[in-house]
Amino acid sequence: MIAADFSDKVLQLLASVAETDEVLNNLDLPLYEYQVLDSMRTVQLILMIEEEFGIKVSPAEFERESWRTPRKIIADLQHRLHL
Amino acid sequence: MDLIERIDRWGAVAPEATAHISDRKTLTYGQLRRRSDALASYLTERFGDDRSPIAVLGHREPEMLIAFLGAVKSCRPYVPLDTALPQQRIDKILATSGAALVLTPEDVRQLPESQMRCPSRGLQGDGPFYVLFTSGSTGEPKGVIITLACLEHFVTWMLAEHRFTEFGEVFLNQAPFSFDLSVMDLYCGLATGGTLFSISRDLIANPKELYRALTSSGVTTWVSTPSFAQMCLVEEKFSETMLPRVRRFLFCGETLTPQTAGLLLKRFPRAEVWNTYGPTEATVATTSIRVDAEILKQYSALPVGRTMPGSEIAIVNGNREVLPVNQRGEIIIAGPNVSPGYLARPDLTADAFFQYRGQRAYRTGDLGRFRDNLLFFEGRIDDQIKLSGYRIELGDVEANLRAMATVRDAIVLPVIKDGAAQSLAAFVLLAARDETSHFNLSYRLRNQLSERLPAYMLPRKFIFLDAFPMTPNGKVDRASLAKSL
Repeated sequence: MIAADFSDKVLQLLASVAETDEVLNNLDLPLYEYQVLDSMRTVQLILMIEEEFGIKVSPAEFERESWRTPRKIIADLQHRLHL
Repeated sequence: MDLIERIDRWGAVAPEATAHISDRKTLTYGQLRRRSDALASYLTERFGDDRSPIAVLGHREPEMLIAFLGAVKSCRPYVPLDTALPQQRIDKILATSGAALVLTPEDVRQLPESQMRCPSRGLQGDGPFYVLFTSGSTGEPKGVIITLACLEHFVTWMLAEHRFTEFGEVFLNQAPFSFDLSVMDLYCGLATGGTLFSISRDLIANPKELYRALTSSGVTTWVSTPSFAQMCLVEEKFSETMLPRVRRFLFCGETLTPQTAGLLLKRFPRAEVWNTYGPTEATVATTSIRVDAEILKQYSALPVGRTMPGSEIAIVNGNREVLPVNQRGEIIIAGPNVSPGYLARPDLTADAFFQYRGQRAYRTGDLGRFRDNLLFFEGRIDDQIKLSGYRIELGDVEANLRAMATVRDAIVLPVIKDGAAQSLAAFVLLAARDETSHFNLSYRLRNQLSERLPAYMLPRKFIFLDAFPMTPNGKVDRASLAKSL
């Protein structure tokens, strides 16, 4: 239940940064390939995630591959939270 | 000694000093001088009296600097073009510029050594140095002509204000050469025997590599848009530890927020933070101010500063009458830094340029006011916006959308967050009903539009409508569309 709430919240943040609800409908959407995310939006999302969950993601250690799709973002953040 | 001779002098006195670094490739002042001379000879031989511009198409390669100087040494202005621009946009610019030749880095590399010869110099102060294309409201980019005298006025001011150490500076080059912010780092760097450290768009797209490159860059003078610094600041390690040599941050192209300035001063206690302001038509920047703790304490919206010596700024009303201090009006700039006008567009030139108290003047379309002897920028009087420092005419995006076969009509508006434009939204009436999903339709349209417009001009959001809301006067109700965003 906690995990589902967490996923929903992450997706909402992503949708607000990406300015599209498609990320809610398609968890395997290739975010960078479809230009839904770029560098600027990635750091916006990093900031929102820190504010919302207190999870710190360092841009200097960030790999695009780990956030390639909405599903991967959720998995990466869950891993960081050890959910 | 003019700017070109000044740059060349480093080639004679310090030929091994590094002029430019990009993607681990370096260019020395000796190479820059020798090879730009060779290129100038080649251009003179090939084109004789034809002084048409030389277009230079690349992405921060060292050869671009050789091409720029080679062109001006042969008394031809250069037109910088970035490879990120779509071909249709490049074609439009080339057609308007009447360029005699398009030079790529590969062309410059292949220039035979045997043609090396020192050309005679002859570029006069009023001779065009470069032509920079910006967004035009009708969908046609317009070329701003900047002369040697304009550029020298700007560089002389920058050098006097910042006292850069000769051979001691590394300038960050963040903006592509097709964006006039790059003129600040490029010519302040070359005029002082400094090194230009270019970061490619691949680096900007990959933060991990970007921070790695910055760590080893040795940058002393940071020149970028405020958005770029803001993005870098998200990383906590972006501080004096990462860039121990940085002594000043120079910002131009968009509003610098007190938050960004404050955070920089905290993370880089030994560096100065400068805010500057100016349109491309007045050569990069006309005003500047050092933002320190005192300024931050005093103003919630930062001033853009004082006018450069020798130039004048006035705030005028619709009849071009000068307004008193503290009244808001249009900013006009007069002085030797003001462009002679737009290339091959006497109509646009006549609209925007005029004489003011014996000097050439430009009406910026920017709103502002003077307070405490400082200029404050307060937005636009028209539909021009800035996104990440890039100047965009909404009409330009609309005209290019309407030119697409699938689009019947389009209105483009900025998405505003915290008082600043964050992205563009396009309201579109399609030529025919399409059953494709909204996302796929948006993606397809965006992709098609990317063949005509650079990435920074592409709307993020597409809203498909059957009809636009209308005002009682029968005009499209832009205000109600804006409210729906």
